[in-house]
Amino acid sequence: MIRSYLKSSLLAVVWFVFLTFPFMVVKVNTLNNTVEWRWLNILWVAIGAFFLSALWRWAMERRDRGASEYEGEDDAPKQRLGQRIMEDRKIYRPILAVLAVVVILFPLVFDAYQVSIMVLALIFVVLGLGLNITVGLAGLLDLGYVAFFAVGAYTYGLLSFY
Amino acid sequence: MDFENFLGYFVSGLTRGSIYALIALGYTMVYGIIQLINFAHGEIYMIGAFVALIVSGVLTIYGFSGVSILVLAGLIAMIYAAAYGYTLERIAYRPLRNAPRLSALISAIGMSLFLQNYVLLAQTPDFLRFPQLIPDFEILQSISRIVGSGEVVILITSAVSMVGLTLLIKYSKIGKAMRATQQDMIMARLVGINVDRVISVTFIIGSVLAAIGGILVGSYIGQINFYIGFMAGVKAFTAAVLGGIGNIPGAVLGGLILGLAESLAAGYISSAYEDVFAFGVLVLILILRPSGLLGKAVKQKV
Repeated sequence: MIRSYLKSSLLAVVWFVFLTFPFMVVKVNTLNNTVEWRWLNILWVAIGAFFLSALWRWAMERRDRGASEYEGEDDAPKQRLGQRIMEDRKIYRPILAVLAVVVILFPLVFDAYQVSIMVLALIFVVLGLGLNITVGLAGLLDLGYVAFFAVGAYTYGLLSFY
Repeated sequence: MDFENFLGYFVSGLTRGSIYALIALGYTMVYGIIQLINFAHGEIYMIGAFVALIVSGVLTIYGFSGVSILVLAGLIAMIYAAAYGYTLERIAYRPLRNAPRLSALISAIGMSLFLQNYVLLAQTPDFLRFPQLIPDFEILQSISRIVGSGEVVILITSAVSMVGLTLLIKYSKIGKAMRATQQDMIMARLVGINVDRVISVTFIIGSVLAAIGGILVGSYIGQINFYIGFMAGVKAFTAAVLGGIGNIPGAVLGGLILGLAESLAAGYISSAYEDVFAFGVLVLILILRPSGLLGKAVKQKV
């Protein structure tokens, strides 16, 4: 078991060191015709590849095992945690209340920079809500959706300018 | 004079078009087999160009010259692009083979962003000067206003690779397996085709073609950076859709039409709007023929 993990991880290390070699190690300056060799980076790539590939294999095996167990069960599958929260009013009402309090208190506690980050996050939430309508409900993968984001910003800018 | 200008635009359009066609072939082959739009394909093109740049830079410093640099850099770039394409398929798409198509698509977009930022961090955000790998041919001196040697090399190389691809798909065993997988994946598996291997080979062939395109464009334009893959990828995807995605002659035709439309529009109307004309052609053709120029009308299976 552990030996097969080790073997596949070492293989991944060799493969990824090969793959990332020209990008991580060599740095060419084409103007002065000098080359910089950064050998230390190989070490990081090797360590990263070793552990990530072991983690990857473990997760994949777990997923496959989960899928086969799922097929064997007769009764209804357990509901996911997120679904349970969304469906049970006793759980999600208090969560909403806590969220509202956090939102109100947030600008008072944190400074302007952190508030601007949260505003950006909420803008993405709005974008995500809109995309959910076109992709999720209408089933149309609309990659041009962000164009409307730009149109809105541009129109606002022009109208406020003139 | 006027006709000479036209010829110049025409040749540069063909040049761009054949590059788009080379990249579009990768899109269309992958789409034909697993119905996945491989958004990371443009990044494979960028990686091919980068590896060629790095290798040729190192070789120049160690005193190689001329043609040996071109051959070595080209070979290594193709090998690396193939390796990246294979790895991409292995870690980003194979685990999602049975997942909904949207998940694989998002995974492809994610890999595209990942590869861009990987090159950005590991190398440089600046434009790098690409060494001129293609030599100047003296025969072409007299008509160099119309056709440069870079354009000739691009046209010949891409034509040769396209013919090679056609022969490979028509006559070789793996080509036959690819066509069978494209028609019906389950049936292909039943008659004993190793479908996973066929898909990997498809990715590898597409990546090699993209790397060829990357090297050619790099030495033609003379500079590259980590972001060149995005626009080339979008254009090549457009070309693939224009010709009917999943159809190999269609991708070549679409690429050439797109390149010509861009180049002629840039020459006669305005170079600032060349992208507008390229995508305008796409919209027009898709309105008139929704499945692309050479695409078959596919009935949606419910």
